[in-house]
Amino acid sequence: MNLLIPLGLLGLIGLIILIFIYILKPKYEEKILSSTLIWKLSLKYIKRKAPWQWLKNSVIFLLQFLTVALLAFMMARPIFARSIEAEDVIIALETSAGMRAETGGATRLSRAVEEIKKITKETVEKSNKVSIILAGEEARLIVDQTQNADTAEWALRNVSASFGGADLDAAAKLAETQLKNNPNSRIVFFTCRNYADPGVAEIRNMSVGDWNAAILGANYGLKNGFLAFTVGIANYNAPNGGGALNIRADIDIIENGAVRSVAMGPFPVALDGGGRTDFEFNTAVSGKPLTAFESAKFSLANADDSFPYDNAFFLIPEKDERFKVQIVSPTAVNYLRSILEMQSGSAVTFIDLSVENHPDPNIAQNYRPPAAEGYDLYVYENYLPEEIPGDGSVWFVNPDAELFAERYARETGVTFLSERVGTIYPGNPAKTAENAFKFAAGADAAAAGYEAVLNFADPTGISATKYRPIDFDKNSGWASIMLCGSAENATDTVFALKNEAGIKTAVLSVDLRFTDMPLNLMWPVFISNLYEYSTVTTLKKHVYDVGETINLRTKPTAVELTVTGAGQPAERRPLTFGNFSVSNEIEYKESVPGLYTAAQIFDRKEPATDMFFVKIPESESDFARTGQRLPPIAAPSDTGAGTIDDNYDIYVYLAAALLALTTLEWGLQYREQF
Amino acid sequence: MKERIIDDDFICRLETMALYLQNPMRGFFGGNHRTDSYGQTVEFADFREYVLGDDIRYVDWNLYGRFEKHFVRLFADERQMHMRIFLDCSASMEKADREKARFALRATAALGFLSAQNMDKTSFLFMKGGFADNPCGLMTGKNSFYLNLARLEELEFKGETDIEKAVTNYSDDGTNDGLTVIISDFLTESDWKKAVDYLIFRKRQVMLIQVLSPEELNPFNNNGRMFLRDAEAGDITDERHMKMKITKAHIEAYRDALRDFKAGIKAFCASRGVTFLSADCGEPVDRFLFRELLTAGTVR
Repeated sequence: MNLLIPLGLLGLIGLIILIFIYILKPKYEEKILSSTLIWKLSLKYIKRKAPWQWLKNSVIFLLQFLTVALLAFMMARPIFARSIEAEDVIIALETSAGMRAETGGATRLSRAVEEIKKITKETVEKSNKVSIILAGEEARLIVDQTQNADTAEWALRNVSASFGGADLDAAAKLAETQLKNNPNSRIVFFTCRNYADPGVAEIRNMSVGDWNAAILGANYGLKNGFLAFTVGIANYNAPNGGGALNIRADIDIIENGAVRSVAMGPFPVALDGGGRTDFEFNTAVSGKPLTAFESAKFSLANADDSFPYDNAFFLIPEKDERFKVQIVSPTAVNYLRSILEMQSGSAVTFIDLSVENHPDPNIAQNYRPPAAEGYDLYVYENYLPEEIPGDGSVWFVNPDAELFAERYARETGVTFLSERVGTIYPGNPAKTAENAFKFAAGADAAAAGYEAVLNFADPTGISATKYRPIDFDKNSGWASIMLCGSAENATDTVFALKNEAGIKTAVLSVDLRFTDMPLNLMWPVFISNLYEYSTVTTLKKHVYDVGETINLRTKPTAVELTVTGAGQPAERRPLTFGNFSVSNEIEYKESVPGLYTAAQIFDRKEPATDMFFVKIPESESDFARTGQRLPPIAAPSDTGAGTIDDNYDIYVYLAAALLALTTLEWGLQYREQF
Repeated sequence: MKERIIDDDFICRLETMALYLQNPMRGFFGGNHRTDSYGQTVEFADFREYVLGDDIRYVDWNLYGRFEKHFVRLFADERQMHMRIFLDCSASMEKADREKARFALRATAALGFLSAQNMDKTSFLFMKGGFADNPCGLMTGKNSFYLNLARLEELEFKGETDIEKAVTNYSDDGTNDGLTVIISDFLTESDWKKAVDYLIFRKRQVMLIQVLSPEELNPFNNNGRMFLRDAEAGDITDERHMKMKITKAHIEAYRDALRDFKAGIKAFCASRGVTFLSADCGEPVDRFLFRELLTAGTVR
């Protein structure tokens, strides 16, 4: 027990005064009687009647003594120091997109924040602590065991819901950590759905009659030669089962070299019973017959739901990227051209060097010299340019060894050994005898980064009648992919690759006319693999969820990549990446749904743009979803933590005791006198 | 003290009453009290056989005709009694409550009047210290009573009284000749019972009238620490003074003590055939007389 005002004990002086009052002779009132005889006789009666009368007088004195002592004690403000179990509260506030649902002018999040403020106030009023965890795309502790309601309110002032999901696992881990401070803490999760098994947590579902109509996705295909779209629509918890929704389509097409938007719809779609419905419409019968499009926007025209962020969806064709390929060859026989022209997105320019000196001037005038820049892939067969282009990948097929050494030996670190020639059949140089040279996979064929090149393209079984071994410094970055040599021991590298700052350089030192490789089934696969390896696709897909990792691969020589989108916050627009590493891979996440454009800038090329759409995760659109199990929160064993030192004020009890004492003393006095 | 203690109305009411003595007394000739002896009154008392020398005028001839024996008629005798009223004149009768003394004087006067009206001899004996003073002498008849009434009105109450000594030391004590009344509060340590026994021995009818004030019957309304001064005590060192803290328990004890005190007197009187009356001086004296004395049979 402690005394807040020890000086209050000076009140004990009152005891001395009380004793003095008793010691000092009290004043007697004089009364004249005829005789005191009866009074003297009565003394015997009083002794017989109240044998404890002397004690009663002492009791009164004792009560007065205690009263004064108690008063002095109260003046000293005694308090008891004790440890009590704190009823702390750990609050986890989900800030997923679902918390943005708005009904009656208030979002789920705003309702949750108000409730949290109320709980905080009630908790801190009892001297308990409040911790608040935000469970957004990442969980973080924003209030750590505070006893100040203003602190919590300040921390909550700028809380907003994301457009993505919530990392409840991380929030549960944080709650578990906080729980170690006080195992008696109450854990309250403010979410937007119920959980079948909330565990030790208390769930506060903030949804109040919210419903949601959403476009979950879209796809396209050709039907009868024209574009047909399939749109996935859903409604969750819609009043009266949902009814009909109108879908509107705005399709961007390229017409006469310019982008033009074609509006279609609205198409009524019945959504009875809720859930997902796939709606399909064909452009041939729904308006303008289309065979290709740049992008398409689908939107719900009349949805008045609680969550408007998933009412639109952008569809972008998967194969929208174009790669410019230049093939330079002095020979009309071209095994490469046919394969490359088949590759998706490739725009092949074939430079036939033999045309330059063609005897027919009409033909000769069509000759265009090979370009040294502006292409994504340069293929040189039996030809070497003055300089190796710097803005795209380069394939050298059967280069002139001496010229190569003269021009690029220092730059590339590649030289060629003397040509090895086997039995060559005149008129059919590709025909190989049994003792021809055999191909095999090189030492680096399975190495990381190169394994895709020979995927489903086994060189075993290919033979050649002559080849030139490639000699390169092993530290110069070249990888040996294909070997050639005797059937028993193929050790000479005939195909080498190098990846330098995203620019791939390939050297195949075999004349295609002296090998059966172009005739083998592995040839188109091999060229296709090499094409995929050499060309860089910026986007692997065009639809991402909010919070999903977006992989952007910049093209070789791109100096800057800028991502812009209408939904981006102003401080993040434009999002620019530069100083690319060798990998040229960018990973990042978008936090706002919408249509984005990734633009790459080159020094000597036109900018390349790609679009992608970031949508609300389907799990957030699903308002009818019930969580099965909240991530478990392990309650630590009671280690004694969670108790707080509390000063227990016994003033009320002392006052009650004082009242009892004075009442008792007064009662005794009254009984004595009346 | 000089105030009128008895008025005409009171006397008028007293004239309707007469003293009645229960015990046959010898007394003196010429009074109005019947005795157990035979006399010359007209009131028949008894028969007896005629003996030689009896007046033949008293022979009852009707009885002779029936029994053929001579019987003479005997008549009751009436005698004059001597009423002695001993009045306690101590300070306790007045100092604390003047009404107490006034009540005692009015009772004395009333009894004296009844005695005088009955043609009895009357003596007012004022007990002071160990003696009984008789300044009025022997009174007979109303004139004598009225003449001495002023002495009662001038009486002073002071000092102490020893009832025993005052009664036993009184020289004209008489024997079997009437009623002796002692009026006092009996709040004394003297052995007044001896005085009563002495009067019984002298074959006198005895009546004790205790006069108490209302405050003595129902003590103090105020409580607390009190210095109780005895009216008859001397200086402050007198042991009869009391200092005490009076509580409710004390009051109840006082009432019990007073009740037992009065019961003790009553029991003593009953054992001696003595009439005991206790009066509250707060009540009118006539009410006391007409109620208590009639109830006791002292007056009719």
